[in-house]
Amino acid sequence: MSDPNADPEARNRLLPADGVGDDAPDEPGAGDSVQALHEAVMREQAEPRDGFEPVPFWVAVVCGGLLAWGGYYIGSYTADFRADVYDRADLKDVAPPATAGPEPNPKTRDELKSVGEQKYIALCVGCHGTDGKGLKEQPGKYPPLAASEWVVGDKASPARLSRILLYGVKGPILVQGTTYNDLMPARGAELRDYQIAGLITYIRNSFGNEGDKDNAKPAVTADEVKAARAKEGARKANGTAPYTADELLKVTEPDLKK
Amino acid sequence: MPAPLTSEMLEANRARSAAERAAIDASCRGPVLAFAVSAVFWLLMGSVLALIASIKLHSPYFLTGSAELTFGRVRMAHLQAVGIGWASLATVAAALWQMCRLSRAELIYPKILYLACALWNVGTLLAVFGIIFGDGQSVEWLDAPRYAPPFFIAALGIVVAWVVAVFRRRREPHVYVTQWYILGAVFWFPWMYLVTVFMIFWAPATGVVQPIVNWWFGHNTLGLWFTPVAVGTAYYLIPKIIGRPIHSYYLSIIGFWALALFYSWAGMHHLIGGPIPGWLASASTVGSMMMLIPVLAVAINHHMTMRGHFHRLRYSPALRFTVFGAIAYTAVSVQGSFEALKDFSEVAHFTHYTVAHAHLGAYGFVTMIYFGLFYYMIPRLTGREWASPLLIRVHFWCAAVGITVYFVALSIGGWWQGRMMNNPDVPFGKIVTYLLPYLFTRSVAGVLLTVGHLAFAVSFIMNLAGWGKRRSGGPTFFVEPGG
Amino acid sequence: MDRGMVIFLGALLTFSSSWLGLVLFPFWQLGGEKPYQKDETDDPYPVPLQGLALAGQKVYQNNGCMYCHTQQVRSERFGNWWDANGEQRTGADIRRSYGQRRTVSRDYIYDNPTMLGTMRTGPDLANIGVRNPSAPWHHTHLLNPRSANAWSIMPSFAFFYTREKVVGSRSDKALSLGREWTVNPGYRWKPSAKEWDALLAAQGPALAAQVGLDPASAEGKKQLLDYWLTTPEEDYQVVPNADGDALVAYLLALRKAEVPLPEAKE
Repeated sequence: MSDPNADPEARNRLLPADGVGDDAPDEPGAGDSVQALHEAVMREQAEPRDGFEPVPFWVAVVCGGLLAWGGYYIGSYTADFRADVYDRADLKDVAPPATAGPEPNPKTRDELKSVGEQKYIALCVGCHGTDGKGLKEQPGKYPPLAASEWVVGDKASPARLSRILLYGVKGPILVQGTTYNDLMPARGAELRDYQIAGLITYIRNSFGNEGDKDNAKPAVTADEVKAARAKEGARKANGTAPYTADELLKVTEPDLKK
Repeated sequence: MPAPLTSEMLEANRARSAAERAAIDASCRGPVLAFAVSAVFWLLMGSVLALIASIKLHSPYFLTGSAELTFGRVRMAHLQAVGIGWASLATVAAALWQMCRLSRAELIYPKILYLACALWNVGTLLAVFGIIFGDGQSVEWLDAPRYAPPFFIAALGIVVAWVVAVFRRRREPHVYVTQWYILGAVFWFPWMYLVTVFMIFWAPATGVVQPIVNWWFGHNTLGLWFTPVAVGTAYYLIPKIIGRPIHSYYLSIIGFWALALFYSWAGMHHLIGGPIPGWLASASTVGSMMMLIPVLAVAINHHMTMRGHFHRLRYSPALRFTVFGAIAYTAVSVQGSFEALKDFSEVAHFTHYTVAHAHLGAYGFVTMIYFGLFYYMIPRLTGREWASPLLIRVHFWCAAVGITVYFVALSIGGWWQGRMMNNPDVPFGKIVTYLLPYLFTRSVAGVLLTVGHLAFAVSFIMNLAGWGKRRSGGPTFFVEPGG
Repeated sequence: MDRGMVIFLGALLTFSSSWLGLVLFPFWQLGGEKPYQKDETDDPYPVPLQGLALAGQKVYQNNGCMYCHTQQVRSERFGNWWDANGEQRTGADIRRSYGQRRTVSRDYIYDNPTMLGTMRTGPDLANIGVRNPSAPWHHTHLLNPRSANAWSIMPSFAFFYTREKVVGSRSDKALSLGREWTVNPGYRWKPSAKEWDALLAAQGPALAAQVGLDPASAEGKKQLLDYWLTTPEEDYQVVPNADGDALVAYLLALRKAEVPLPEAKE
């Protein structure tokens, strides 16, 4: 802090405070006086000033280490600042193979069930419920899967279930004595064959549908779903060509000759 | 060599300095108080909006009748109220007062700053109520409807011009570290604000460039507008209250320039894993980790200055709030640096963990330091001490306990939320149900914080109006020394 | 550092490095992206929103939906978990069917504002139009999310709907929900004990006959109440207003991570 003695001008440049008066300091509202202002500022310490301790050596080491790490990271993980490389892992690798690996084709019931369960939770519980009985909050809105004739009853077949999942269903459709008149979305565009097969296997083996030990429902594999797609040919799986109940009933042949 | 100063001369120097400071305070008192009062008003508004939003998250039928109070709008309005309202107005008050004090220059033409304060308040009002009534923009930090920014730009222009004018009129030849930070903040914030408003609203950039610019702005608001002025305030108050010099000028230099260089590169860590080119995310991870350098420098400076004087925390409200904030600054910055690493971000992204981190910074660090500043500065501007140590104690403990509970609850809940989200076998509903007790705890913490704010507001009003047992003859401490 | 010019120049140079690097350079790199067209016969992707969906984007924007829902799908390599067999897997977003692939910058070139979102209080919506293309489902869900998911904390957006008296025949757009969701839109309604008793007195036997329940027994009464609550109101209907229609149109138009893009390698 500079010494006011060194600059006599400084004293002359002091402005008087607003509301300077000679009011007695004890009256309320007289806090505006310079005297009262001075109380707080009088006891203040001087304005802060700098000390000049040196920077500890270990701080320099830490800074140097961080800078080195930063340089390494930039070198390794920026892929030459390309705009078409998105992932950190990509940035270090050589270009990935041109074609993706073969699609999984699980064959056992348990494997298929576990794939199906994940998809069921992600896509189906919202309408068919966690127990496969539809939504408790909106009874009569979405058909149950538990004990449904289309899933494990006299109208069920892998061929029909594949088509329901691939292309969707447009009501009205009769399920366990109730008519449902909504639109079930198609999943054929967003799900792969093994995922649809997994779903079919899962719903036929859950919610009480699995039956007794000797009569448990066999696994439906990706091959059957693929065969269904092949048979359908040009039919689009993006929701524009849903099956109706009548059309489903006309599907009587299995897609895959055993 | 001049003759050594006698004790009478020292006394005379002290008296002259005090008179000078009193005159400086008197010159800037009106505008600074105007900004401070506005800030506290928006703090209260922001607290109410925060509580509404928080309760709605665990009790969705709370106040569900109207479009105006739907969660999305209340959340946007809350951020505007506390971000451009409380925190920015307090930043302006802090910048003005400390620049005047440290430059040892009076504020001239203070009335124009009243205009700036009015403009800023109008802008914030338009922002908050515009959002409530349906004009929110869904751009993080910039949700204010299109008719609000002109007010901020005008007000900001005036404030920046005045701060720089004070600096240029300085009598004090040495420029202290707080002044560097303030100059940086008032230079950077208008730049980033104008660029962002231009590239997102006036001439919208294509696609993903918008969030890139948005987070460049959003993150820089925290680190190059609030942080410099709040850290600068800590650099002012800690040595000032204790009466010792700041530990190391060289560490101050490192702290300032490393902040300036690295902070602005860290913004893309908000988009890690997102649809942006990988090099942006990597550059920001590096920028974020480099921030350990200035944070370390500042932490050492503050800590070594305080060493041997921690007992003063028992008495001084201003010091206690400020040191709490300074410690929170170190904590939140170190947390943030590591949160930017890809493996950490993978879990914490999109969760309440980030919300906890954000509030540790915005509240635990910035807001607490501004509380400390207000407790120090207001008596000097009004000439009246704080009337009630009880209210100050209530304020401190509600704030400190509130923010700690907030941070711990949401950090734990958010971390597990992230882990569960990364496991697709966990149905989404389970995650929501899991979080409910943590969200409820956050509401409880929010009530505590609001009670603290009310205590503070009452203290503030009493001080402004001169109510309560008129206190003079000594500062209001938490407990009386020797008692 | 006692000279203002030093501080000014330093602040200018340091900040402009990020301005150039994080703002101008990405703007130059990404600003000119064009839609992708695999070959002549395919539709270009993406296409700008139009009409009702565009209006719905504004509704989404003004109501802060972005603050609970993201619209970005992370890559196959993001999100580790250990499955039931103890193997480490990645790609949680894609496994949750949030998209067929990660989202990239080209997915957003026509999004203005680009609402990527930062919180997943609710699920990601980038591909919601693919995952759930049922407009009626979205309407009932928006009216009161708990009608679809009991655990939901999403706000009820009843202000996108109007409850009106049925004049003539029921509207095609009427939401098909039980009266517990429509009598007080946005809330879940239950008659008070007195109201229920009065109702039973007036309509009890008729209702009971419909369902084959015994209105005298306590169990029968309870089941009657459940039945009654889940049937739609006869003389009132809940229909979406312009905002509701627009928002659902927008949601159904959200199909971001569906079309394969060459730069989205996984």
